[in-house]
Amino acid sequence: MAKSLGHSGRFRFLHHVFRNLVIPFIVVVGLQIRYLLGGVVIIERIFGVNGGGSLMVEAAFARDYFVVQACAVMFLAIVLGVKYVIDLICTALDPRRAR
Amino acid sequence: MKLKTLMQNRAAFAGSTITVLFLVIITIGPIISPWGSGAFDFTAVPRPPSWSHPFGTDSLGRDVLARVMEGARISLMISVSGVLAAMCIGITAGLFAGYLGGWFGAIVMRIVDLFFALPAFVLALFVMVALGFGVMNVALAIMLVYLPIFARITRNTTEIVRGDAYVHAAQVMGQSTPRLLFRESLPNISAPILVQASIAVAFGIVIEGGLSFIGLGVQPPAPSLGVIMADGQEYFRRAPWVLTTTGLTKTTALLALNILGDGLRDLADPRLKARDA
Repeated sequence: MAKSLGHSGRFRFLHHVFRNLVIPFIVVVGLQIRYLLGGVVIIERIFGVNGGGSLMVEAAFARDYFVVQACAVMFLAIVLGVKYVIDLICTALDPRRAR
Repeated sequence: MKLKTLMQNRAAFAGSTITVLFLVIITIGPIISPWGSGAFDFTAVPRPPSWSHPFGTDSLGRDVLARVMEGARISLMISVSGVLAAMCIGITAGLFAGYLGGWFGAIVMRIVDLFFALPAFVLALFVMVALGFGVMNVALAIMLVYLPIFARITRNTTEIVRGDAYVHAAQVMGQSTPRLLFRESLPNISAPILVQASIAVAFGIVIEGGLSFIGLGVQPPAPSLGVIMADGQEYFRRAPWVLTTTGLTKTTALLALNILGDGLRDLADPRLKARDA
């Protein structure tokens, strides 16, 4: 049907195929972010990166409860933020989801 | 589920065979091994794999194979006990939340959502800091990570079977709610829970390994897969076999448990089976 409207092949692909195709992938990215952030803690420890993960582990060793709490809240905020953005992207790509 | 059906599925067969083999090795291995997991031998400071030390020795001359077998047992024990505890509490909460619904179900599910938002490893780390380091608390951390998963699966499946005829029949017969849930509903929804359990044990080993690796879990000199890997990582250039053999052992165990989980899933849901053939 899209073909009968006379759009170019490129437009057809981007607008009709790709647009619907990427939604599941974006949703998976949203689910993966939790596992990725979990892995961050170990990866930063192994390669000596000074990030939130190392901060959390060092604070854990020092029994610095407030810093550990703050890090946990930070990770929580990142996960929730990413999920929110992903919801927005999905709604933009497929307006039927808005409801 | 009959044993014969299990054996006919290739994935389930392979997974369960390797898992059982692994269990046998880590159970009788430390007994028949000539080396103790903590016995030092300073004349054999790090030696590459040989016939007397199949996995080589570490920087203190301890036999790596003996340590891996002992460590795998501790890792598996922690993971299994954590997952079992998560199943007990999670399934109970999920059954009641799914069957009763209402405000009770809503409260349970909001708590579950809260746990779901935290990355698994961050949650585990948080628990370790709050409760202190040690074997018992690693199991507790794994329990907290898997509790929401079991609760959610059980709730969703319970909601599906809530309208089934046998549930109504049990209601009419006047069975008490707990009896109805555990004797009638649970056997019918056990398949997805079992699948999740076998995968959860695998990832429980990963969480335990990660916590011990960064030094927050099992404390050396007690071996666990994570402790041995952290030890081997320090002198990887000099003795690469310590980290490599331990890592390969862990990979094999996780692969077997995952294949077993996949096989069980295929058996539990025949619609997916076509893909396997």
